[in-house]
Amino acid sequence: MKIFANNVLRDATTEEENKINAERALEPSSAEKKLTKIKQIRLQKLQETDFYALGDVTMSDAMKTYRQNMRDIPANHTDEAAYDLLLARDSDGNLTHSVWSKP
Amino acid sequence: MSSEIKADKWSPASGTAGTIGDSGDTFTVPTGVGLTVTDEVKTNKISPASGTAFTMGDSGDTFTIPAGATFANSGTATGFGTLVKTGSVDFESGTGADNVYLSDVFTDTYDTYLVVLRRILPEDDGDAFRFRFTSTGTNEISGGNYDYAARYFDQDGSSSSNTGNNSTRFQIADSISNQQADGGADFHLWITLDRTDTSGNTGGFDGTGHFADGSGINHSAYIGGYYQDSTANAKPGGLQFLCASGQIRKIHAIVYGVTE
Repeated sequence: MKIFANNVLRDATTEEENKINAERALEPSSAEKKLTKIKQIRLQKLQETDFYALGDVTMSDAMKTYRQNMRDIPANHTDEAAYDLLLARDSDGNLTHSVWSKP
Repeated sequence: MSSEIKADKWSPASGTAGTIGDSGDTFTVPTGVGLTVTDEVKTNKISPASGTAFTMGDSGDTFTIPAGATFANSGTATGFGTLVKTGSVDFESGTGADNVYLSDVFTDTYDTYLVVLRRILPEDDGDAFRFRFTSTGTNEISGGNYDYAARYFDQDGSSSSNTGNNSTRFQIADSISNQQADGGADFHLWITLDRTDTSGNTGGFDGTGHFADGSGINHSAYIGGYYQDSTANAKPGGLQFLCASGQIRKIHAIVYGVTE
């Protein structure tokens, strides 16, 4: 491990290494971080279509399926490879997985 | 010889070099007598004739520091503007660092600081970027006293947030691409301290910035937070920069104290 202090790059001391390792051990895994990001995206997309659930608006079956599929993401996508597919984007930055495609 | 010499002009006895006196001699220009030099004067030190007051020139005079020259201030300068650089770090070594320190940049002289962070790149793609206070040198202040909130507006029109309560550091970017072409991350942070408050240690910050995440998506960020420790044994004196999981590949940081 390396430390940059006083504009000099040096090896970390044993005490510094122990601190860094202890802090990193508390970090969520890569898969957990990706699932958190997916849940943030899901929440936003659900909120964007919440108004369809109002009493004076009729929610189509396609919209019901779209929303249910997003709710089922944690059950139907359970490993990091699946999370990567859910977070994949095209060159314009748009999410490409079909589960995000709003009817 | 103690008598007076009167002449309209002194010249070197030969050539162009002349010497006045010897080591240890003192030449005094009495009060009321002017000494005019129309070309360069070279000396190692200029001091006030008496007391501590020294005045350079008169109203309307101009003093110029030429290109390439350095005017260094190691004391207290007033009236020179609102921002005074207190420290900087330029880390771009080709080898990553787990922690990067910008030590001893906060003093009792200023309560408000501008921190400019630019070209931040992590070694690990998508790593989060964080900072915490240090007291002196590399002594980090890592107690669970950091509260913060961040709001990110994403290039695709969506938004997200990140918060921390009783955390051990501030997190200002959730995910930064390690590809230089994606743009890395840049932030401008205002940090307010009250180091003279002996009842405890506090430090607040707010700022804005942008970063490209691990997918190359750009985000603008508005962030703010507050550090509060009821003990008075570790005043914020500097900054430690770190990533969540891996090393920092590049970072440039400058800290300015704001003159009040």
